[in-house]
Amino acid sequence: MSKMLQLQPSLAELHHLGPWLREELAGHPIEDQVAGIELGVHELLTNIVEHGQPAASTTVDLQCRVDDVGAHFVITDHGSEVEPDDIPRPDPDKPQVRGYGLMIIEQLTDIFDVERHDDTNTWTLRFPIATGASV
Amino acid sequence: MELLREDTTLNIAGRVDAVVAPDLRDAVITMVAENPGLPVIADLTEVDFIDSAGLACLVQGMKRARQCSGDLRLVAPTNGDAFRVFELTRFDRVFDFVSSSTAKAA
Repeated sequence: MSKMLQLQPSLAELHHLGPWLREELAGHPIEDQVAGIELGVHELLTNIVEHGQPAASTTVDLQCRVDDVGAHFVITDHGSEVEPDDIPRPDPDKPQVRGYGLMIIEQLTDIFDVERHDDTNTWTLRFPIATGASV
Repeated sequence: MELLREDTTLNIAGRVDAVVAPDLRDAVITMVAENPGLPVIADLTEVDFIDSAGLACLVQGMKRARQCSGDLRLVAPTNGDAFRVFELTRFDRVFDFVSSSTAKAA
């Protein structure tokens, strides 16, 4: 049974992510991809904290499930509504300073979606098992 | 994150993320400002994690340096996972990467 990770909406809380992920993915074929998965989830959490600005009294909750397709995450937060499709992506030919978080997430996942219900954003991510990994 | 400055090289180690980005940005911008027109080096050999916020500090430093006819060059992390953010954002093609020995000779 997956253990939920509950974080305060603060950048300082992000150091809890890596140890939790390593525990969740241990023993699964996708375990070798933990660094990329950490980067993708970390980028989303950073965006939630910096742009969604959830109230300090709320939490960001993460759940993980692993199957033979990949690692699935459901992440909820109570920050402002975000529509990723409305955020312009960087032009690869014109290097800019910020704005690469979503680009990174989209390259690491094959499912990346968000739904808004009441005051809650529910993010769904799937990191596929890399081709060649033994299932 | 640990920062150690040696002449025109900034040695960076550990985890470089949004939490420590303000410190890294200050260090990089200061170093670039003190060496106008010169190449300065950020040695990432011992970096084990870097996110887009950490990357942004290096991009800002590179842009500032190039505006003054200088440059910010990088020694790539030995940890391939830490280098991934450069590949995913295509900054592996934008930065000038040098070897660790080049950095030491600078």
